[in-house]
Amino acid sequence: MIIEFISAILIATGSLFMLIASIGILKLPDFYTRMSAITKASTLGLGLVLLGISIHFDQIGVFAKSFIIITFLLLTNPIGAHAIARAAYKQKIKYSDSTIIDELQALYLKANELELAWLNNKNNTEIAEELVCAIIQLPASHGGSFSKALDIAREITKVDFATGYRITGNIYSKMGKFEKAEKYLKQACEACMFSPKASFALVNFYVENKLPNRALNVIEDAMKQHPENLEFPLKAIHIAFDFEVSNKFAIECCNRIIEQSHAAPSEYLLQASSFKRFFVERSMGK
Amino acid sequence: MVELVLKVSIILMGISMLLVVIRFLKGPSLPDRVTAFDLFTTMVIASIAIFSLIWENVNFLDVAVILSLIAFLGALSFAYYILKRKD
Repeated sequence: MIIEFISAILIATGSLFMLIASIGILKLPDFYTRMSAITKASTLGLGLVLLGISIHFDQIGVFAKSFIIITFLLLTNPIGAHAIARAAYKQKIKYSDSTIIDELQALYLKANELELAWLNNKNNTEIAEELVCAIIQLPASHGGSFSKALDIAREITKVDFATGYRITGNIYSKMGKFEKAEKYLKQACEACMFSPKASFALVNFYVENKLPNRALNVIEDAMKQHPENLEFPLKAIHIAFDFEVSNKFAIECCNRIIEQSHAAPSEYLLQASSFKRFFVERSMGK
Repeated sequence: MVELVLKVSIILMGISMLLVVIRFLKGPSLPDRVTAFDLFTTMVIASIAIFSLIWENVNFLDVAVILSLIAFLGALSFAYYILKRKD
């Protein structure tokens, strides 16, 4: 008796969700909102109905069949909706009037603008760097591709050796090719004697790949070249704090910031002194 | 009690199908019709499941399995058609 009651409630709820989905497809203003509304509601509705059926019959075969349908539905409904929405976007189906943001279109326009600016002035490496960033983020259907980005990076290398190598390394890092990215970023660092931009690119690359010790080695080399730059020791402190490594080097970095107190902003000093206390306590604890 | 609930659910299904058909006729674009058709198939699957309960016949669920497979293939091929269509 109670089982029949539960299954009846589940089936009624499921068909209510189906009704909500159909009201959504009729009332919502444009194709994309309809799409997003009906896929969720209809998936939940059909799932509830099938669950109610399998509870009512209470046979292993029925459970298996409705399990197959529900699993298949959860897999295929989002894929189908995504495919149709993607095709509709490519066919430029209209938005409703209240839509204000289209990030893909904005990025596409920005990339086109940057490309024009870059073609007019190939010596401007900053524009080229932004262009490469935009091209990496765009999907292939809107002109984004890694090989095009690499071509632009090669052009930059002709103008400015270090910047070109750094950008090439960043592209390879986005592509997931660890060794090539490491090679190019290292060459970029050596080419410009560990300038802050190149060193931070390499350090961030190591941090993303969870290799704090190598990142700290790079910072140590960079600090030998640029002893007056206080951003390197601060970055080293943060890495040592996040990954819980190398107390000794971190304390040294704190000391260096405190020694140069005349040049350091007050914010750096504050962070250095509080982190130093933390590192000292941690090394005593060990 | 349970019979009443089942009847109400079937009526709700019928109303929803009617609303979806209205959207199917109104359009305005081809992707709208394709999604309406997709939703309609999902509702047919749910109705088959409810009918299998009303007639106490488990075999109808096989139809539901096959229909859910065909609905997915239909949605994908329609998406491919929309993508390749020239107008």
